Amino acid sequence: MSSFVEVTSPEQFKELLSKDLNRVSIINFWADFAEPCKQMNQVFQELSKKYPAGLFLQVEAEAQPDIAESFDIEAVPSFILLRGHTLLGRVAGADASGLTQQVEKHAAAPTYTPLSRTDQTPARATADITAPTAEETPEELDKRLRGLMNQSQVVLFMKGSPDTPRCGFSRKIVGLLKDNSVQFSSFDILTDEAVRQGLKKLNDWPTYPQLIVKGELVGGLDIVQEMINSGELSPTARLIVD
Amino acid sequence: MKPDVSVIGPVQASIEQKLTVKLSPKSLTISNDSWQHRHHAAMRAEGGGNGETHFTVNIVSDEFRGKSTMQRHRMIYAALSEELAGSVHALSLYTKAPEEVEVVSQA
Repeated sequence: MSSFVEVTSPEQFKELLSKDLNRVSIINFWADFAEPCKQMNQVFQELSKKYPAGLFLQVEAEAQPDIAESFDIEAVPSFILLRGHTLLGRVAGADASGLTQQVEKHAAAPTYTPLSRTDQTPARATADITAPTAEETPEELDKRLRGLMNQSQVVLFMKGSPDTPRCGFSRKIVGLLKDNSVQFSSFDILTDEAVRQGLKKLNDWPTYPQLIVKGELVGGLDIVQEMINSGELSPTARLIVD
Repeated sequence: MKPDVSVIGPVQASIEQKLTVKLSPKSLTISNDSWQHRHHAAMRAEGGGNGETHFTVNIVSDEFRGKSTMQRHRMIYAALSEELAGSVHALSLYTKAPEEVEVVSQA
């Protein structure tokens, strides 16, 4: 696309700008009666050849009053630098070096054009197969919860993971299980709000951590601690460990 | 600034009242542990909580006789469902029937 255009209408002006919102455009507002404009127009043309990445638009201010007004042009020559619709700079008067400086600053190299574009938001990451689909019915959630509770002999629903617990009670219960050589799998309820709320309802138990043995809720930290004290955990553990 | 734990907040008062009514306990001790949990991730997200989020309840009651620990805990959770739906995040529960209380005075 040509880098120098004489603008003849507001519509054309708009169209030229919208063709590439990434491209830098330099607008020269000039008038016939102003002597300095003749010189600056020449400068303008030279610059357009030297910096073809920029879109150089020449606008005769009196012929295009609407365009001139929209940029608050009060005197000619005036130069406006834009990227798309964003104002990058203004140069007032026949300031050749000032204009050259601005053009060099903004239009020296072609602007980066991304190789691809998308308007879509990134897809939601689903790390594992037990992750829910977009719309999960209560029945589907129920099934998923039971699946999670039965994924191994002993399942701990906790805040965080065994290596990084995010709650004192969760940390303690992990410690108890490990100290007593209980093999268990775990689920971080902080990663899944549906499971977090659903399991509380299903098991009629309002808190975490929750220890599930053979698909059934055994209790939380206090109960597990009591079971260890009373020796109750050992028979259960024996069933699991061997 | 550590809160004065001798001051009983409204949630703790409510817990005490409900458990007393429901379970006619022989003894009931409630302590507010919220201060110790104020910097856990979940509490930080809530700006530290309202100071009535974690409690320890020690309770001895005839109602617990013949019931498993789990059943006892469920009784307490049922009595305090309102508080648990509100600011209370966690309860440490120690539940005993009167016979189960160790007699410390025996030499």
